[in-house]
Amino acid sequence: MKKALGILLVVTLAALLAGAQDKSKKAYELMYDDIQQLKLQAARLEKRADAAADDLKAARDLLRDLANQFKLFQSEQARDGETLKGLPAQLQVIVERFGQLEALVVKISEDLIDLKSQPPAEPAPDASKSGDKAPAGKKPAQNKKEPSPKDKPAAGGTPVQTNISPQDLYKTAYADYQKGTYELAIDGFNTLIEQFPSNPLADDALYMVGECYYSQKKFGPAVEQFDELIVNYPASNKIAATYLKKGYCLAELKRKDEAIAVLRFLVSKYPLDEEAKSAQQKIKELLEER
Amino acid sequence: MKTRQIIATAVLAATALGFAAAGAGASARTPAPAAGPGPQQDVTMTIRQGMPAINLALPKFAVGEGAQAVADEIYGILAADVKYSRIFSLLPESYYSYIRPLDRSNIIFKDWESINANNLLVGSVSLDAGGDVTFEWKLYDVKPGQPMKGKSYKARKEDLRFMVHRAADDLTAIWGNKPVFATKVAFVSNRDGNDELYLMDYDGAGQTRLTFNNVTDYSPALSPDGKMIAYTSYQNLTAGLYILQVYEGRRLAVSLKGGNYSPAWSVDGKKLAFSSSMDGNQEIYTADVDEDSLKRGAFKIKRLTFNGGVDTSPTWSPTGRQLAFVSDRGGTPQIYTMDAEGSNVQRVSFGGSNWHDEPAWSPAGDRIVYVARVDEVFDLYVLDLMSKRISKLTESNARNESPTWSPDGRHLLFTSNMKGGITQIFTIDYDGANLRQLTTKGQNKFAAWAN
Repeated sequence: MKKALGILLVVTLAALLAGAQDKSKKAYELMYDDIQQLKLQAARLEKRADAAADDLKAARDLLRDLANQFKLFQSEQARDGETLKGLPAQLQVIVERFGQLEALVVKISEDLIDLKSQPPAEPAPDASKSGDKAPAGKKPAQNKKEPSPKDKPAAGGTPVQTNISPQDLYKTAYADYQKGTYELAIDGFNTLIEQFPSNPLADDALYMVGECYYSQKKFGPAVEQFDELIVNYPASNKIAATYLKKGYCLAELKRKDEAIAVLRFLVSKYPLDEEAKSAQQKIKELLEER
Repeated sequence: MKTRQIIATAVLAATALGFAAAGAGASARTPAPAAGPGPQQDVTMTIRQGMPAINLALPKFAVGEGAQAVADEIYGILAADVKYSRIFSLLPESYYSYIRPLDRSNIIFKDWESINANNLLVGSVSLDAGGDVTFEWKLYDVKPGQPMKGKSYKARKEDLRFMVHRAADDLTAIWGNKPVFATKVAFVSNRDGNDELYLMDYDGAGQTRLTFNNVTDYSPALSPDGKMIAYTSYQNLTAGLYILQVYEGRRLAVSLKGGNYSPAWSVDGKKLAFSSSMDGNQEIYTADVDEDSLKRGAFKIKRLTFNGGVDTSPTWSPTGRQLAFVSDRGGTPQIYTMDAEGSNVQRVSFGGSNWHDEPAWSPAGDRIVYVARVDEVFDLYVLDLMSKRISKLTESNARNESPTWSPDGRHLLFTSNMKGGITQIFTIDYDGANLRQLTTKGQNKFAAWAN
């Protein structure tokens, strides 16, 4: 009986134990599964969070870019506003310069046509003409450094004339102007203008002829020179100074209304040049004199 | 107040007194070819760079009773002037021993020719009972044995220096030279405390104080007639521009608004160019100076430059039709020229340095001297306007500044600290020769020669 009881006990114990073992295994497995699940879930969440962070970063970058762009835009707009104010004047200047360039192109093409239409005939009379007007042989004497080589044999017949480059002519005449020997200077500048009317120095020379007359207080002849420059070399870089000087001359000649008109024209046409400021000062002075 | 501040000097007031200039045997005023190709071509003898000077024999003068000391003094001053002139070069006295002594009644020109003399100056000095000095000279052209010019002067003893300087000017005028020796130089010195205006002879003699106040007086410009000094003065703590009438002792304000600096007289003395910030930015202005404006003490001021850059240091061309000035409109201080109305602006300095200042236009109009800074060394350079060539005038590893031309353009004065670091006034010839210090007391600067 005792034995049977013991066996039963053992069996039940074993059964209990086995049952408990079975149960605990299940829980472990469950837990394991749960953990696995949780891990998966966490990984998924992590992935999603990463993705979200990436998205967020991208969004932030985008926002920053946008902000930058906006700032840039704003500053650009401010700058545009500034430049916009000066634009009409600048545009006018550009249009003006364009017009001058156009005039220059037309003139060059005309010269070209002239040159093509009469190739051999031109140099001889031109040279003799300028030879007649050469001032007392002073210039040739000063520029005798290169007597024999003929740099531009096509340009003129007499070697004396061709030896003087327009640059040398200008330099010599300008030195005469600085010395105050105005008649000599005028001769020199006029020689340049006659011999090299298309040279870039020709308009400067013409301006200087006017300036020489102005320096001698011969305001009438000076006005004539400045007018000639305005008509013949509208593209000259001296054009604003020319208008200013013309205005000053007219003021000296007591032709006040004309002077004011010329100076006002200068102010309206070349508002950005410094000469315009001088003109304004002179206009004010002339108006106050009345 | 005014009279206390400015005192005209007695030394200067004695200028035209007591001179009896008689043309003793004057002949051949200008030994030059009479006919020129044009009316505007002045044909006088001009000594060009590199041309040898004229050998002048200057034997001792004939001396009247009791006049030996005075005669020696006159001889010394005249010899120094002649040496400085760069027109004459003095024959060494030892040469005179090779020939027969000078016989005034019968000059043997062959003798003088044999010792290489081109011109011979025969002089005499006498003293009258009243103590007045009479000095006579006669210049001979040795080769043809002809007298060229002669003159006689009479002056009080205290005006001796001035008299001899006048004689030297007359002597060099024969060779077409402008007066130099009797001219004055204005400058600034702190020898008596603060910076005040002073005046001296061209050779540094007779240094005299002109202003007496406790503010800084600066950058004087002497008018061509030597009677007025335009300068900057810091009265009431602002840099105002004033004109001092030296002989009247009168001071007139030209411009008091803003800072006003570096005045420069035109050659005719009718225009004063200066730099001012009266409208805000530093620009170049001119003031008309004539009898009327001086009387009223009010000057018509005209603005010449209208540029965003700083425009300073104007200097007139000798014709009065152009001005050179300094502007940093291109980024660095450079020298520009413009005409008298402010138009036709052209840059003229294109050197190795990017810092140019204080231009001074030469009296002949062909050069501009200026200061250029290279590696903290300030030197004078001369720009030839025709060839655009630049030559260096000073070489001393110091601050050489504020150049001013002599009226004949053969010499310059400038300020330098080359000797012992203290600024002093020096003279140098146009070609860099004959460097000499003129001042020693205190610090001296801003020499301004009337030209």
